[in-house]
Amino acid sequence: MHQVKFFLLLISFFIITNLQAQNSEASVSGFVFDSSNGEALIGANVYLTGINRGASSNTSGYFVIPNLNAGTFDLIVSYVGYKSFQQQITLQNNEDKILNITLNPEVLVGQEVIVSADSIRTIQKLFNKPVSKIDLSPVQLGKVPQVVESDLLRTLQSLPGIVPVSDFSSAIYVRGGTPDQNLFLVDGTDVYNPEHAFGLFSTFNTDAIKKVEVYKGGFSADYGGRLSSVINITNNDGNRNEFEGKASLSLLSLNATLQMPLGKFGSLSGSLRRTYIDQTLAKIVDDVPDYYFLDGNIKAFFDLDNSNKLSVSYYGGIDDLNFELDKNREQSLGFDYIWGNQTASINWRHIFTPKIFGNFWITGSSFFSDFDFDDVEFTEENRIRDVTLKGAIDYFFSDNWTFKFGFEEKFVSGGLKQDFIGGKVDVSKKRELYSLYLTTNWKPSILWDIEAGIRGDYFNSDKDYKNLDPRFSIKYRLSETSNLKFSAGIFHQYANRIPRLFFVSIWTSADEYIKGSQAEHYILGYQKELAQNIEFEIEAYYKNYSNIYSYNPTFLADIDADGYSDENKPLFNSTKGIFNRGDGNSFGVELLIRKDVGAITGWFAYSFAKTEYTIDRVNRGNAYPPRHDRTHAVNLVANLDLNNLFCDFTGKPIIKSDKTWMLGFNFTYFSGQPITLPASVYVINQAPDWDLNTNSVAIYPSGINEFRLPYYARLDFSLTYEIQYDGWTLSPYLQIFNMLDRKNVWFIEYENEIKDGMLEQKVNNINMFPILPSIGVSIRF
Amino acid sequence: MLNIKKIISFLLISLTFYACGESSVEIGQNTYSPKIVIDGLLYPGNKVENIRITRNIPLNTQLEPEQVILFAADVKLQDMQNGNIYQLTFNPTNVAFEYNGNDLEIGYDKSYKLSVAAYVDGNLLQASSITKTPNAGFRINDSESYIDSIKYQEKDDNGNDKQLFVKFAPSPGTNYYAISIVALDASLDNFIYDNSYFEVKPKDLEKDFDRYKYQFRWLQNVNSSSNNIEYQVEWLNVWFYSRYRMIIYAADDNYRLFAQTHRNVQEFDGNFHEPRMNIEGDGIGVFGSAITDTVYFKVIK
Repeated sequence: MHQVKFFLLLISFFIITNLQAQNSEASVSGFVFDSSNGEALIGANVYLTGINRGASSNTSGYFVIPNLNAGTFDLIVSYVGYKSFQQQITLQNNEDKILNITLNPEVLVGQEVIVSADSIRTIQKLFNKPVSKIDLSPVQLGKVPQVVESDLLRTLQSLPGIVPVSDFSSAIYVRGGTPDQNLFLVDGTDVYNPEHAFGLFSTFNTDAIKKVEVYKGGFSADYGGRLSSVINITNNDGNRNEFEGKASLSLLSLNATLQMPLGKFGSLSGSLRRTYIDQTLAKIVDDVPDYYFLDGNIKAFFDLDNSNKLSVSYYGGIDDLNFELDKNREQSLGFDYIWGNQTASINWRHIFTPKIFGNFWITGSSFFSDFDFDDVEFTEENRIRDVTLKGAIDYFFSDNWTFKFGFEEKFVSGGLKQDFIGGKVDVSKKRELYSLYLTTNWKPSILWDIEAGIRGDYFNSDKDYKNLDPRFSIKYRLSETSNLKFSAGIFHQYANRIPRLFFVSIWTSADEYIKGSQAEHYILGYQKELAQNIEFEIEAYYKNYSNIYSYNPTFLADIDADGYSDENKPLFNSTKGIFNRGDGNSFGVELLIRKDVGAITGWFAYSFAKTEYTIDRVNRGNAYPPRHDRTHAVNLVANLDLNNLFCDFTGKPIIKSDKTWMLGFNFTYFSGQPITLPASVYVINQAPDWDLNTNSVAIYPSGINEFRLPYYARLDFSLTYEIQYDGWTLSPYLQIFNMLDRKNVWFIEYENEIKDGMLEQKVNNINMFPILPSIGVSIRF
Repeated sequence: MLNIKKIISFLLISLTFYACGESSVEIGQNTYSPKIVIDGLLYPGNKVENIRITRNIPLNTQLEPEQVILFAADVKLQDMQNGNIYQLTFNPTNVAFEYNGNDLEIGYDKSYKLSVAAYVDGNLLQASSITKTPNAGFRINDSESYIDSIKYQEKDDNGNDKQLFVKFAPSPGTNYYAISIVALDASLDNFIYDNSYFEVKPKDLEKDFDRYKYQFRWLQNVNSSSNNIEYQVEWLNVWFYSRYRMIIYAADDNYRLFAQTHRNVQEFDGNFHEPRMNIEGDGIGVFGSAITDTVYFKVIK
């Protein structure tokens, strides 16, 4: 209740201050839209050239340039991939000019693609960007060759500072952090376990995505609850002008996306994707299990009036595995496993005054998994649900001083229930997280941009946790073509994930046995405009963690019963023994050269990184590198428009053709992954009464992750032919993952073999994905 | 333009070079460090015997008994109640250390320390471990158990599965019970090929024979204040038409940690982690204590 009062007080303060300020000043505000479909454009640059003042559109497409004097100005609005908009505007005293600006895409068949006319310089775009932030568009996501079909998380794995742990996982490890330290937001809603097919693919359908913002660290006080990164995904609002559709067929799935206007006041967008192996291959080949995943989302956008926008969004996904070890036997060892996510959100955006922009959400997120293994009398129910109320007020106090205030109330419930021969687990809890934050941005001169913020958390579980997280960032223009940036902050996390390969993860939270985790980030960055539309960035970072938790692989030896059932079965109701507590640190340097416009686009990334954890009960308490520690990583992503390949070098204009060949490459190099090897063998029986036998040999491991696997490298390839005819676009494609079939080692398999009466040990390298060619086709209309 | 062509050509050749070929991991002496391996349990009321002292060996070397057994190890047992130390001697018949004097009786709820010193690869290694024996009280209640001769997956008159089970009185304070089931007459001929679970080919059985013959289960976090604990013999532990010996161990913490962790050292992603063993110094394995009780049953066609 106190928070609500405080919030109302703050709004009143902003409104009163704003009304006073309005007495003598004019402003320009409004939304920036894509003319082809009416979608709001996020991050468009709005500029008044004569007086060198400007703003960027926010996630709703809204911008405001306040505190202007009366006069005539040249307004320029630009966005990558769109023709710039230019207009002369005249402002009277006290006038709040509201503009709804539409930008035209550059890519019209037969027309020249104007690249150089983009009036906002690359260095300015770099300066506007927060520290350690990378934006990706759906076009960029679709161009990077991947396993069978495009995948958001796998594309992120090709960015500097973001690494995978193996080919078989789409999970991302950002700057030394673990996957549970990443906050995934879809239309403002938290997503837990964003994985299909045991982590092989992510749940995000790239056809439904409008924009992806990735914060690799040092993020502002707007975001909390995670230690490492934020992946903020905004889905399509829908085409407001006409009916639009896309259908794709890959070797994995069928996918359809439809968008349509809702009269004059809104739009609707929906996607549906399903795998079909269960209906095809699994019916022919016994070894292929009956498995499918299905996901879909729908989003409605309502343009209520100039000051009120509303969107309602829903996502649902399900994975279903019915496994039988031997399909030909009447009774076979087998299990049923079903899991999925559901998210929903209502987002209301309101312009209180041109200077006060409000964004309010009600969101819900739910994850479930049910596992049933009758033959060994094992069942499991795994649930997590959250309902969140949150809001943010942007207050543009003056041209060089803005405030953002926000609140978040999160109600989380769920837990884990297991029933097995040896006992019962029931860890079901309710938790609440209350957060308030305030951020202010001050530009004392054109050279400086300073942002400071503070976020306060109150986490209520078995035990309460209260934390204040200060955040700070500063940007400085070193020269006409270079910037210097610094960011620092403290971050807290109250949720932990128990990762389980071949089983979906279990989420739990801080409680009497598990403290809240903390991280500190320090980031220094340098940016340079190498040429117009060619960006160069280098960032150095240091992170330290305290009270981080890793899954205890020997937890069976550490759990205690909290009571007993009537049948004398032990009952487990707490998280005691599940995790090992520890501390750690990461540091590194990342370099990124990126080109988003032209016949050749893509990026080159290099990162040097070191991460060390010191975890209780692991490696005898000594520091060790985690498995995702990759000292050197190199990524080269290149997309080539073959019709205009040499235009970038010769300076000739790029002409958009109705028949286009596109070539894509993705080269990845990681230095060797840390691994714990079997160090020696010894003779011992499990039970003292057994005779010596072929299973009497046990393995004793080396120091934890003491060794490194050989380097990992891979070259992926894609070739797409795009034909446009009468509003229809047909795009058949060929993708080859690991086209040179490099055998990258995943781990070591070990087995005993009796040879000539003697026992020998055999060591085999188990490799990751071999060469994986795939084909597919998509149709847009 | 020429330079750009050269750079692109160089880049493509480099990428091709790096992104093809085969990598491999060699495991050899570089991962090895010598350890004393202790394998022995004390049983209250019984003589101290069958304490095996061996050494670990590097991977990819052949196991020969004379290279593994530490015949000349200095092995001592200390009674922590009175501080008395007893020198154990090597018995070549059962290839293990034992105490032959009459002045040591292993008691219930008592602590004992085993100390071992031995030369391995020319280095003097030392290891020690303390066990606390369980309290008296553990025994199988034969009259309340159903342990008999039974047909494989036999059903009763109502069509329900018949189930072998034992009921036992636990040892107060001991909540870990290991169950060892051994098919005494196991052979390739009496294997249950038409089992309900999966197909086992004779060739595979030959290779994994011992894996089917020896079965190990445990009950943990048992309510040791209860006087009647039930354990049902799952059909997944039965792979032969054979006589079976089932021994239940009411075990101490050292054996519990060892049994729960020493085989489960490789994770799903292939990486290894440490087992948990209460041994100080350069030792691995187990020095524990237990009370045992044994039953027999038979599975027929």
